[in-house]
Amino acid sequence: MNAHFYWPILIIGLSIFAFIAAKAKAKKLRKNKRLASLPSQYGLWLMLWCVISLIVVGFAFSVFGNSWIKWQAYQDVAQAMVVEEQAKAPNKQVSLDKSMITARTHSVENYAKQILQNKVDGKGNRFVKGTYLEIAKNIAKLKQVIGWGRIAALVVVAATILLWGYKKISVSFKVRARNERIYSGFLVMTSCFAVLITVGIFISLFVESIHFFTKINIFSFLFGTEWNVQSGDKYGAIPLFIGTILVGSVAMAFATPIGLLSAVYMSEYASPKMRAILKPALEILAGIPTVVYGFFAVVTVGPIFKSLFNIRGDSIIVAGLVMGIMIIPYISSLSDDVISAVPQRLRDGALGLGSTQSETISRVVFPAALPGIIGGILLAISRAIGETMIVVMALSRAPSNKLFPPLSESTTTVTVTIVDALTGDTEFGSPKVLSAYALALTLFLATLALNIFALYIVRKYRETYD
Amino acid sequence: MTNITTTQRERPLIKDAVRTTLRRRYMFEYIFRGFGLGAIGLALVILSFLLYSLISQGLGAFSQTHFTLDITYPQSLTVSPSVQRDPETNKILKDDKGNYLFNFSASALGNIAYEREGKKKIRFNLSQLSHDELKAVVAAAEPNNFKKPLRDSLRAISGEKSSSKLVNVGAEMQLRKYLQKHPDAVGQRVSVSVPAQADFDYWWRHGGKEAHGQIEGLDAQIAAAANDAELSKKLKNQRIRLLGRFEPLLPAVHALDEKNLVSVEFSSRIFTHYDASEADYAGLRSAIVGTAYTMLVTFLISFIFGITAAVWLEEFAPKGRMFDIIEVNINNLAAVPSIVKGILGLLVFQMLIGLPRGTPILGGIVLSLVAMPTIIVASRAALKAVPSSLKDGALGVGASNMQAVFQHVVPAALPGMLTGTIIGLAQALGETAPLLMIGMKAYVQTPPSGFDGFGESATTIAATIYNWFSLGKDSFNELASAAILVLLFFLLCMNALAVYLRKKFELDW
Repeated sequence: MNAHFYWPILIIGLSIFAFIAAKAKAKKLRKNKRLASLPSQYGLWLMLWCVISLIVVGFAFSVFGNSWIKWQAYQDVAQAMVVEEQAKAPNKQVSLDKSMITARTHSVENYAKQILQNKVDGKGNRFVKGTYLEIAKNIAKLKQVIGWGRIAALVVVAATILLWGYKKISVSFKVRARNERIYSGFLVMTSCFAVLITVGIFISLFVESIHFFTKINIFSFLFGTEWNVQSGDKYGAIPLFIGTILVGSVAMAFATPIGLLSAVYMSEYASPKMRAILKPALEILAGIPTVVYGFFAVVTVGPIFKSLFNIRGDSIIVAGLVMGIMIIPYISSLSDDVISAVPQRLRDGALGLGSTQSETISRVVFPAALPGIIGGILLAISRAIGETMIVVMALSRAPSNKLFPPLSESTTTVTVTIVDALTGDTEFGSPKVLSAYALALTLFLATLALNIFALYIVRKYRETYD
Repeated sequence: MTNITTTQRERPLIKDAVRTTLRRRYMFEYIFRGFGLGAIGLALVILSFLLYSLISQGLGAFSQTHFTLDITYPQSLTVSPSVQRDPETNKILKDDKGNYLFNFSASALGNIAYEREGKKKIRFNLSQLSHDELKAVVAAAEPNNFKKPLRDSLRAISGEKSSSKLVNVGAEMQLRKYLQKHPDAVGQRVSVSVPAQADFDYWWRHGGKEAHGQIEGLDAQIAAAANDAELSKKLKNQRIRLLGRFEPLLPAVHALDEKNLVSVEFSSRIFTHYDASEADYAGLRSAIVGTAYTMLVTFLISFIFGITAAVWLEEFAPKGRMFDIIEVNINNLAAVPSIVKGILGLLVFQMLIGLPRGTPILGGIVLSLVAMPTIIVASRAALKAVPSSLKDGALGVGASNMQAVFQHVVPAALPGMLTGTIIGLAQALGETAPLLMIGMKAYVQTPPSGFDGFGESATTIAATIYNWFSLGKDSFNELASAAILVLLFFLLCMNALAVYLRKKFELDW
């Protein structure tokens, strides 16, 4: 019934068939004359054509079909809701909230999906009944039609390409160079993928944030000093920014000296043998997942702080210190690389003039490595403000009622608020959910700026020794 | 002349100048070195404390308190047709049309169908069934069929009404499993070892065992300190800490303990059981399977994209503006917070493209964004390390640029690329935040299976750790620490494999 779910397998099958057919023809040609390329190159050529065009066709059906169905469903549901409201109160002016229609459309679509997956009996449920059940069934049917339409389109396209390509294969047809052009096209494409992801992040967050800013003024978001989503509908993000900065500062204040000093010791004092043990040990700290650090903060560090200093377990200082532990290896390994890159002759010169090792380090090696070290610290800061699991687990979910809470109290951060908004049972399209996208956009831009600034500093102030 | 000699005498000797400052400079040297050593020492102390606390908390979940009970198995079982499960995979069985499978008709077997709480149920008289039918009925039977036998048995031994709180679903499932293995036990009295209720189990292994001996002395002390308010309060707090909310159960468990029926046994449930709402029956199996599915998707995507991007950047890309943009972007992608990558997955891959929420395919794509920058950087380093003479040789004998790269340079760099891939995947394995965004945190009892599994809801080990942690119970926290140990073990294995690959295949050019 739902065989059209398996269209990727159809693509693989058709492409393998194309390979075999083209290779067979090339082999047959080779019996009489010398071929321009190896037979398998002909097979690959036709197969690549098949794969590329079929994937494009298949995904075009997914993207356009889905958005068309979504639009259709939204229209139908909106109409049904208007009819329903009018039936309830015939004399009233009908005004529907957009987010309510979206939410209802969502559940109708979900039900249609479940009909297709044979997960439900088709009798409807609490939300999907009557007209909505009809719409859901209609959507399921449309999806079915699109699915089979895709299968038909794939077969037609594959047949066309096979006929065209099979005819084109001849003795003088230089196919390897063509293949290589396809390969390099693929290589360029995958390299651009990173750019595409960044652009995709920016555009998708930007569009959703625009939705948010049509409901909430952008200035009251950026400069408002109260964040209260539950009761007040107050979306001032300053307390969240302050929370993020406070936790990040504690982390950096703890991690920077320890990370830097251990990097200096490892690269300047430690014997190769000692270094071979110490470096992997610090790398273990870097390899531990952040969810483990969060667990450690709550289950071990929090209670210790509570019993020793009588500070609450979900305080800023606990989360900050544990985040600092996570950041130590970043700073130490980045600075270690930079310090090791300072040429030996600089040290030899300083030592030859009679300075002690510590004077060499603090007056010669350290200044030479400074741009790189600062770049590393900036990267670590961007890591700290984007860190999620530790703060989600170790901090409270609500901002402190003071604008600048002391370190022994709890507050919340940007990332915690994002998780809170996107994992709860909040209505789809509500300002609370949309606020998460605006916060994520702010976070993304902040890390992007830090990152580019770090690269700029490293490039501008880097000493070139050769 | 004299003038010159006097200035020579007045000028201090360099030797003296050095001598006066030398002590201070050496002092600084020692302090500086001490600080460096102290920093490393502190980092190592923190590391060992972290590992120690995780291990000491997590090991507890590998043991479980058991009661050895004499159970009288019932003659009949109730089954609700809607919960028919496959005994092997624990999946709900359905036929082609999606109806729940129930392959024996109740009336044909001479049993009674009835409705309770609006749900259709069937009571089977077990003595009328053949062995095969009995096995099927037992597999479909709800565990609460065994509640009464357990309660009766506990009450018979301890004489306490509250004793039924000592066991939970885990014990009921254990009885069902026993009956599946020994169909002859129907209506018989047999001795079975069943797991204790999770919170009780945790308390018993953390001081509860000794509580009975201490409580009398403590009560006497409290009675003696009745006049001293402060001491009395302190002792009462101590008593609450010792007993928790298990005071009502104390006589019952003492009665069991005196007959040597309570034991702490090794438990492998963390590997063999699926996730469950009760800690005495919950395990990591569904999460491990889900992780395998997700990481397979992550591996395929990040390996293909990562390596091809590295090859293009290192071997083919014309150095220019475009190259710079791509390079900056890749560096930047590494620094984008993983939660933002999760939101990209939510907005683009789930909502726009329409991939199903909370499934390995969606999770795998999102995690590949985490792994990819690492893979690209490591692969570029590996390609850079291959000497140009290799490529030049291939070009010299007539290979095309593409052939030289793919047939000579890439194979030589492959070990380094694989090492980078494994390290990137290890990073993705521990990632949790992006998975929360795309709904992979949900409680998933049945793991994905077959090819369709890539589109079924699943969870990973890291997400399960967070899930268990957020339940906020001691017993689940202990399970979460055990899950952390499992996760760290997997990470250790992956890193060891990476080191091994590097050592074994690394060529010194």
